[in-house]
Amino acid sequence: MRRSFFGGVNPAPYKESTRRKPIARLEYAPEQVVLPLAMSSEGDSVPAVKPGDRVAVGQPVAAGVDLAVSTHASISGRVLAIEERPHPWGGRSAAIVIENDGQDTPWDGRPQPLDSTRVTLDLLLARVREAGIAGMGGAAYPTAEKLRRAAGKADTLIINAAECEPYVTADHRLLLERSDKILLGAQTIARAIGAQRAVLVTEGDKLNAAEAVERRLRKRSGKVELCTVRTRYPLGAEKQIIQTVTGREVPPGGAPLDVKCVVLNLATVFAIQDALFRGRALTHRAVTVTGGAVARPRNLWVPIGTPLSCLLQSAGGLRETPCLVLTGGPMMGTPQHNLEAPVIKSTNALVCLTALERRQQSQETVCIRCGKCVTSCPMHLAPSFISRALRLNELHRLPKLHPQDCIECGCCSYICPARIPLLERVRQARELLEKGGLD
Amino acid sequence: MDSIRSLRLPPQVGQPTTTRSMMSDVLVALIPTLAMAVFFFGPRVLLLTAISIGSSVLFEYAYRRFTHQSDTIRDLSACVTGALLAMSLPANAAYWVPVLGSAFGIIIVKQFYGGLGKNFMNPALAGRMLLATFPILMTNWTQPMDWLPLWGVDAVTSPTPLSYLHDGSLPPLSLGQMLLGQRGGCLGEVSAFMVLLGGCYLILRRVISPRIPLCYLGTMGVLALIFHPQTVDPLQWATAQLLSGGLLLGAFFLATDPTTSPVTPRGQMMFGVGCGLLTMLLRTHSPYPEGVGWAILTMNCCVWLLDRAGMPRRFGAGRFAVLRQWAQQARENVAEIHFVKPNIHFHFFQGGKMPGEEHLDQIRAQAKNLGHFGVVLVCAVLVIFGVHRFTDLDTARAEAKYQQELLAQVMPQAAFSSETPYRAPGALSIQAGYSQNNELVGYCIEVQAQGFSGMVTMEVGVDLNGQVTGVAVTDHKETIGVGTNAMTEEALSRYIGKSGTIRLSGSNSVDAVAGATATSEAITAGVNRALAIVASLNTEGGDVSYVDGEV
Amino acid sequence: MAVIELAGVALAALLSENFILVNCMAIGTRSKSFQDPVDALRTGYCLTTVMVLGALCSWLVDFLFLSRFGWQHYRLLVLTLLIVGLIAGLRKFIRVCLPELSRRMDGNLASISTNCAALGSALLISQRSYGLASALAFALFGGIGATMALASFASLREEVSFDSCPKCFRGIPILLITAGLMALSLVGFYGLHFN
Repeated sequence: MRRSFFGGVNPAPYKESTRRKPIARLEYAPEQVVLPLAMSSEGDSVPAVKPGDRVAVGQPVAAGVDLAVSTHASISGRVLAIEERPHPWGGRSAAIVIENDGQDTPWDGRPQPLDSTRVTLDLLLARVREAGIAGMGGAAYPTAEKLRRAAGKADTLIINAAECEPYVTADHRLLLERSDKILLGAQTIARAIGAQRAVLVTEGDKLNAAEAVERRLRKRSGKVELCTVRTRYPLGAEKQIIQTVTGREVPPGGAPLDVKCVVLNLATVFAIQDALFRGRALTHRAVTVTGGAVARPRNLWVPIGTPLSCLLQSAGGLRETPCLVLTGGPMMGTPQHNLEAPVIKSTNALVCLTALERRQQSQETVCIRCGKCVTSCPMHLAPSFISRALRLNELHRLPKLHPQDCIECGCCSYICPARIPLLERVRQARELLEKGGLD
Repeated sequence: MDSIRSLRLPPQVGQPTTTRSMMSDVLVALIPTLAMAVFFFGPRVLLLTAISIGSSVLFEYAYRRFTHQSDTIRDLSACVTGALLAMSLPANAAYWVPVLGSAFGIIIVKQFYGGLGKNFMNPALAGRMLLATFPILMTNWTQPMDWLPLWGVDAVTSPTPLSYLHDGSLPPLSLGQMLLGQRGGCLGEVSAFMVLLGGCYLILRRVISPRIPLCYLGTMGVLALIFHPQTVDPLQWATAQLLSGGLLLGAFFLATDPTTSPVTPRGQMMFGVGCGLLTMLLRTHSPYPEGVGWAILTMNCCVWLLDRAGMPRRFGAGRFAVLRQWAQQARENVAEIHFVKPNIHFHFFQGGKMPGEEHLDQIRAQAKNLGHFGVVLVCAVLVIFGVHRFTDLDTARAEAKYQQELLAQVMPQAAFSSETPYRAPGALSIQAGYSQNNELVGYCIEVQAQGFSGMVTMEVGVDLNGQVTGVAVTDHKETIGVGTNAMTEEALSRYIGKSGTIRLSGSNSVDAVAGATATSEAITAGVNRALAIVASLNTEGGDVSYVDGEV
Repeated sequence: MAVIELAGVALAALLSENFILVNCMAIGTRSKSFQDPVDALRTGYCLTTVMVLGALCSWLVDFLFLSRFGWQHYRLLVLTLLIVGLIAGLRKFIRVCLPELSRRMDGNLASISTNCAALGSALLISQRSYGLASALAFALFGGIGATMALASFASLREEVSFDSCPKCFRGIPILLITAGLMALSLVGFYGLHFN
């Protein structure tokens, strides 16, 4: 096991409550499914159905325009409306609401499954685009575009199975239960885009999954390498995982393609192989429902668009009033104030924290220059100095401290003993610099 | 995606340590050391520590109160300052000593700059070093297992391992004794093992990072292995160096103070190495036996530089990006500067003005200024000349009288002295003393030796039998009242009649004057050198070659 | 051994007899040198250059004229004129031949004319009868020590807030206290020697 990126912290994982629970289907199917038009980072899709239409599972209901991804119905039923509904990214936005008829009829216009040896780049891109796949690890970038750009240029394909956020176990269970398919998918993608290496990266606290993968690899004698790295947050961040696997550092302001790497989330790879070898569009995903406030934490296989309240129902409901509800992990998650917001393509967990689990909002005290933030920043920043420059209003010092490199992992805020909100300070510094540069 | 970014909360989980818990961890780490000190020196230690901590807290509270600022004693940093100050005192320190040290440290070094996190010098260490500048206060160490009474302590000097090392020999203690602590020293020094225990506790609890202690101790170890005295086994010497003195206390507790050490990892390593270098330099070449405190204080003043130099390199930039940038900048700067040939031209008959008249015009313009200046210069020269003329005779007379008195003290049998053509390296001058009848009585040699604060210059008279006739000190930089005790008539008269090589103890020895060891040793060394020179003098003339210490 | 002796002199000039912190000599420079580290470094370079050149010239004058003819008592006057003339000449030379350098450093060089360290080092060299090598080493490392002390002090002013002390200490008093604390750390180097 190796550890090869500088910095990072080791938050307590809290994965015990869901680590051993296999991914199960929803006990209580949702009555309605809300499919927002904005599910990827590159723009909204355009509805392709009207209220009253009957749709089946896998039928496209929103078309992708430009770079936006298309959306497919995850249940069968009737389109109720296209209206403003709560969005997990905050506020309300346009969404297609489908009423569930409980049948789960698959769409008969599904594309044919492909043979793994016949997958060319064009075929891959077409299928991925058709299936509406976006980055499922949180970034929600259209995968077809990512693969198109990487074709011919990348020499390493990295499958990110390093689920470094506490509480989340969805990818872990997916890897454990479906390693065969994932390996096949990885190999196919690598061959199609012309990458010489395909590396599956997993963390040291997922050794059972790593062993399962290794067994499969031996049987298959595939070309996918397995890389187990000691658990450290934020291993799953793009730049850090590239550094760990290849030793190359993404230049400041650059992208992974600049160092000839492409990183795909595990769930995304699974969705791609589903699209290729089973003709299925992206309609379901694995979500971990956990937290001290949840009665029965577990991993669920969830239709996209399911309201969060429905997830909680299948997880036994809330044991107590949560102090905070997040989608994603506690380090970088998004707070949810309305439980009617749906699961979207990039939601990997629903975490309901009690007051005990959540860190107290303590008083910020004076910086004692302990240096813990500097040793824990994976991007080699010095948050202590940035915070000090802001405090003393010495903005001329900020350019040398380059706060624009920050990936907002939150390690500095996590570790500061003086409880200084360093992440916010660095964000502020970055905004000041950008604003100053534009003026 | 900007919207999702601004919506994200900061991390909702956090590691549980706070500043206060870090400080209390330091106090916990000091408990074994304190316990061992109590075991060795008695309950006085507890009272001393209590007074130290109490006065630190009191001064901080009072200062914050009087200046209408927030109360900061809850973060326990004043307690830590007091505890560390107590640990660095000798067991027989008077009770007012930690009060003074903590007042200086807390009020001036810490609070005047803004309190916790804003000072540039370690307050406990600064307080301790202020006390170290009082000459006798900090140099008397008691032996362990000698419980001191609470009141009325006499100062008793006893050697510590560090004083042995300073002399270049191994202390007569076994490794076990040095580790567990049956040796003299300040409270925090007596047990290296307990300090190590405390240090490991701090590292395990992530209060300090192991970088600074490892670099500090590592540098000391490497330097000790390389620069060991010839007669000593290098490994033993290195171990003795590492375990003696306040090195472990300094490396684990004082140098790692977060506020006054660098923030960046590379800066911390350079800080540790720098401390090690300076400590070794001071321990081997300075008159003070202990150098840890001074070294750490000096490095505290350089932390700004280390932080700037040690900034982590930008993620994604090349390894030497900063260096390359700096080199490019420097090259650009230098390229801008180019040599311009001066325009020196001579006017030859430019028609109208005579050659050089332009220059004369310029001079005429400045004549007034120059004139005043010239007058002042001439006056000054005349005054100096006059004063010198009037006084040089007196000066010469006084000089001659002084020489006569010196001769009387150094070689009473001689009536007058004169220069000899002999030259010896290490002797400033060699003069011969003659009696009334022009008989050679002996030689007066002017030598220098390194005393405590500088060179001690002395005249030593040696008669033809190789016996000392007298010693006089002509120049010194020793502390008055301390070092000068070794230069009194009575002290110097002990050398009269000695010959051969004078040792420090045993047969043919002159004891060092109490409290002025370095100065006494310097005078003895000077006398030995003079004796060696006279013994190797051959009357052919010319250069004298001799070996120090061999007669 | 000559090298050891030189090393001893150099170390003394650098640490135990630091011109600014121990001998309190080079303090007469302009106030900007005490505030801005870059300016402090520039002043330090100028000072070191002037000290080395001044040591060379004054040693030569001492050796060739003053000692030979026994005019030691004119030492102070002669060396003062020499150092001031040297600085003026240096300024003129740089202004004519290296205009870019002059543009940057003329202010610093001008402030050295009122700085005691140049004259002080020349006088100390003369008083202690150093040889030429020792004199140059003394001047060079004395200059370096003064530069480091100036630069340290200036950077400390940037980093440390000097307004948190009681009102009566603000301004010059706290600066002097800071300089005193820096000097405290150099007390331990007093009497450092090589043998």
